[in-house]
Amino acid sequence: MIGAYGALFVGVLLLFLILAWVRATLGQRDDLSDHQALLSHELEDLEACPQEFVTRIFEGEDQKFISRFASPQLQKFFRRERNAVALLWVQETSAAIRRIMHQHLETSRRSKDLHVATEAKIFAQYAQLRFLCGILFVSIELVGPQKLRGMALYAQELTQQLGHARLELDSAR
Amino acid sequence: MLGQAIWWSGIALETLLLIRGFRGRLLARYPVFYGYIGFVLVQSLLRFSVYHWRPQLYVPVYWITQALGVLIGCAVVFEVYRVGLRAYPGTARMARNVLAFVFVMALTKALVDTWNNPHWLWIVSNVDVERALRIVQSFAILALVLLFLSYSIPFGRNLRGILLGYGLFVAASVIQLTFVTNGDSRFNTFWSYVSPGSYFAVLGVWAIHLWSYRANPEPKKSVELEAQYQRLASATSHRLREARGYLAKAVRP
Repeated sequence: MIGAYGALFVGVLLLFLILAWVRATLGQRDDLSDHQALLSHELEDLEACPQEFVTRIFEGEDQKFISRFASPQLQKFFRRERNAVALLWVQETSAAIRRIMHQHLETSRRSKDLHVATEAKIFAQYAQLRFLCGILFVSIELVGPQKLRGMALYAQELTQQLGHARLELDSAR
Repeated sequence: MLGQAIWWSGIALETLLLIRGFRGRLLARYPVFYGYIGFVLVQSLLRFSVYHWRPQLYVPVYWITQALGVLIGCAVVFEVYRVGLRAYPGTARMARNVLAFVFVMALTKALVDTWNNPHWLWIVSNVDVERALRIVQSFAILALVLLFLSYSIPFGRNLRGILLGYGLFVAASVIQLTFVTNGDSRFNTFWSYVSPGSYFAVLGVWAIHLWSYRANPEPKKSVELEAQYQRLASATSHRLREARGYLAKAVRP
């Protein structure tokens, strides 16, 4: 049977979840979103911030330019601003992803031929994206957006080197 | 003295709930729930009578009625699922699968325990069995509430009250039974007041939420979605893939 701590955890979890559910349902309105909007693949949520801007936030070009002034205060200010913008972008993207999922759930709840496996697959995709957003958020906080891109470059180089090494090892066998 | 006062107040609240249910025509809409309230009322009076006039029968009567209460409680959860998801066949289908998963997991656990120790059923006490059943109920309610939350299922005041009250009651029972089975006598006096007190609070929640009939909100639009589910699912999947590409583009070298 389940242990004492496990049982206590289940009891307390149920208590909190029930209260969270009541809080959520109290402010709920049944405004079903238009499923035609979902079917039309509209991506205006995600495209609120143009791709060029996003790339620029994560690129090191502006940082290089700022570092020419040799002003630690200016560099510090620049880093802080860029971090804030990058974090805001991650939050906005995460919110857009949440909206996509919310629209899907609101519409699929009334579908008689709902497929459990398809729903599970979509949920897994959604969970993966939210996890990715979380990782991005923490990474930006820790190393900043420019270094994050540098890390991605380094990881790609490492992967390529590993690939080459494996090919060499395979040909040597 | 305080325990007696809570007990008699509980009886009064149960009677009031039944009267309001009868007057407000709620009995016909939630028959299992009112059956449960009626059962608890009869059970309390029966236990009280047996305790005073046939004390030697109290323990078997207590455990038989307690087991029946757990079973009727399961039917209350099923009624919430049936009424709450009537207009949402998609979520109802998910709920059936999730509940089946919970019960299969519970059954598997019981079978594994029996396999590992064939005598465990004779060793465990009634309290252990009740705690195990309440934990299974907790998992079922947890799964349902998570589905209601994810699919944003709107609930009417009556049905919300039934699930809120029963969920709180089950959660409190699991916590209380865990302390009781651990055999720490320090908590016994404490629980002798908290247990009827929490049940009285649950009755209060039910009395407030079920004072009069409030219809469950129905979906406004009646769009036929059956044929469109696959299109909808692939559209969502496509949008999520695009979101992933959008995220990756930012940091991709």
